[in-house]
Amino acid sequence: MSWLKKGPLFSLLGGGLLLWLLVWAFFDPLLKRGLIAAGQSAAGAKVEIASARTQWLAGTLELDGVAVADRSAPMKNAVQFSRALFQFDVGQALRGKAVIRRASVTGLRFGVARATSGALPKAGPPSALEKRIKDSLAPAGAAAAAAAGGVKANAAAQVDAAKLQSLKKLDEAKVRAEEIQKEWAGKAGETKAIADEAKAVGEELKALGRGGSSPADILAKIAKAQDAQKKIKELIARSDAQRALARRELAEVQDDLKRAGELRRQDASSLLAQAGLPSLDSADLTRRLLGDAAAARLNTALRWLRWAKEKAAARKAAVPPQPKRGAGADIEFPEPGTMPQFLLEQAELSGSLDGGAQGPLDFKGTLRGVTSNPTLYGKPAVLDLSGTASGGRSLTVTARLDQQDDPVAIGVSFSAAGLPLAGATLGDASLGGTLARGTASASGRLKSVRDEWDGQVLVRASGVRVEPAAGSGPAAAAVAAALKSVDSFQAKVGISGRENALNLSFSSNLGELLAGAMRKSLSAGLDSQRAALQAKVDALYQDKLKAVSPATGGLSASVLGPLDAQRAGLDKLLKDALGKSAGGGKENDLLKGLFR
Amino acid sequence: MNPLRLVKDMILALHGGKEPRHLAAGFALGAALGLVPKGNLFAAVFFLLFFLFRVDKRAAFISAALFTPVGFALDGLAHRVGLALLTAAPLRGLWTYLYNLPIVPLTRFNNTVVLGGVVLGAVLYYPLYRAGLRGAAYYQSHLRARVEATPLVRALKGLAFVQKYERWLA
Repeated sequence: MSWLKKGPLFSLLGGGLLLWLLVWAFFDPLLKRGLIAAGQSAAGAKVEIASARTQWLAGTLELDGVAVADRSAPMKNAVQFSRALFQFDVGQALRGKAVIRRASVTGLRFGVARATSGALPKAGPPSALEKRIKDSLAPAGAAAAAAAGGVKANAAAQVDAAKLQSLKKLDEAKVRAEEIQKEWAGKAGETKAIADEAKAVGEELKALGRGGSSPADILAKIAKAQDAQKKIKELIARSDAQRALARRELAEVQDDLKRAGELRRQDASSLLAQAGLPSLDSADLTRRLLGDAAAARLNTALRWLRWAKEKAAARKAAVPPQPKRGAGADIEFPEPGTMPQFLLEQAELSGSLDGGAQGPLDFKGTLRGVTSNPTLYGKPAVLDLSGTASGGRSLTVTARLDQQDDPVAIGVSFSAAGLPLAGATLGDASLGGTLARGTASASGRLKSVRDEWDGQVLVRASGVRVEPAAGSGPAAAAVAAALKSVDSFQAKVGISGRENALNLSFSSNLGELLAGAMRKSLSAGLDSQRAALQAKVDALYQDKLKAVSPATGGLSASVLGPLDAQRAGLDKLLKDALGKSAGGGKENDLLKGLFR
Repeated sequence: MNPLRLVKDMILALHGGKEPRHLAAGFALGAALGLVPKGNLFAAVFFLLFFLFRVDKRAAFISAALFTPVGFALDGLAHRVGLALLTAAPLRGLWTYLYNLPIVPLTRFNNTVVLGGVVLGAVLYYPLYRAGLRGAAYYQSHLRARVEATPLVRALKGLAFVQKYERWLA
């Protein structure tokens, strides 16, 4: 044992002391750095922490001055708080678990302006959701630029079908439908194999009707019926897998067709803008007035909801997804009754919303059940916030992450009243204005399961005064007059569909008001040009749709029809097998002879 | 610890001031520490082993510093190894037992990269020890005299600052 020093104890103690000194000196700074890195990775924007202090024996972590920038609006913080205190369970900490029994977060504020940009130097590319939201608003932006230009003569004659995005999307839908048709023709083997195996099981079940009726025979028949039942369940699982795949693929084609419909309107708006003709579509005008503000808030909300949902789903995956470099994936091995590796049992939250001249709106609430192991914890994570203030102002927010369910679902609902509108902007420099006064009440809900989103936000504004922007184009004066006449308005933003084909709908009486004002101010010549261009786009779209319909129309019947019929047959077969294994089901002919 | 001092000690060790086997053991143990992600009890235990065993601590620290980026580069492999072990059905009972003991989970053995890094360090320990042993012995018996006899080294030795450096080494 010459490798062991004579005084290993002293050496070890020295090493231990050195290690303790290193931990003592570097733990808090390293923890702060780690929290900032993790926060930035989640937020996609800068995270700042003024200080992070731990007390090991007391089991506390204290964070001061935390600010998380908004990726969609880098000159604002998505959230910030002045102080957070976390009380860890020391006993669980010795088992390597971060179980926070109580926490308090004070000084919470949202959307506070920053002195410096919160954008990361190497910000990642926009997510599919952000792209989709941007795409939905693009035509309104293009129209804004066009209003100042001169009006082109005979614009309808210059429409180039090859450049219309809606027609391209229809072509894509057709190609995809043909691919699916071909793919499922190739999969006929699996469908036939299931049918053949089902037929063989059916024969086995029929054979059970014959043979002896002694107790031993009956027991043997029941065992065979149970075996057949197992085989049928396996066949049903195979059939269901095929049907699920077919449904997913058919949904892709339907999404493409739906998207093509939206693009038709966007094509028309773009062409109107290029021709210098104003769009009279009230939805388009609403999108232009409210789109930017709505998109920024939606981007932030959807990003965080999606992040929470994905984290919960990834934690439940049997095999963890490929982790980030150097991070690895933690795999838990809990026994019944043990705690998850991370659990925030309850955090008390308090903060305020900016209330303008009326002073801040203070709110309080709780956050419960944030965990690394939703299956073990078995309860949802819930956020509740509420507050009231003078002048009838109020706020209620409830968010619930159903992390224990499969698939994971997330939902948010909120309502607010007395929100100040002074200083808010509508639209842009060529069509829109600034709200000089007014208050709003808002309510909304948003829900997501898998990659499906569904929700709507309703805003009611009253006591409003709009200072119109200078504006330009043929209807500028009429638009300004219409905006000046507004003293209240309602707006509804809807969100629906899958992430890759998210549908944002905007409706407001403001859009209708502006469309009416613009229609009145347009000369008959311009209006006929506008109508001709719109009709040209519609005609091209309908022609293309007719050409695409043979490929897409019967797709569901040809692909899903046989699979659904096969599934119904398997259900019937399973019912027969269940009857035989239970020794009942006299109504079925197949059972005749089983119990003589 | 002053990095210049570490370099000096390493050079001294190569110049015969230490036994090659101590140097090689330090090198291999340091490599094992380098391959494991830091911030867990495994890393602390490896660190304490430097002091418990008669290994060359300077070689160990330098090797740990050299192998830390190697560990980062082998992160994907470590993840795959760790994942395979942590999801292996026959080992599930062992992991569950260890996971529910006090203190042991502080090693973060249930992290794929940590466990993979520890396994890679353990697997590579002996080959690295042998390589270190051969390397140190080979340098001392074959290369040292040749290196010192090269015109470049001789010319360098004539320089004032090199003479100062040699006095510093002594």
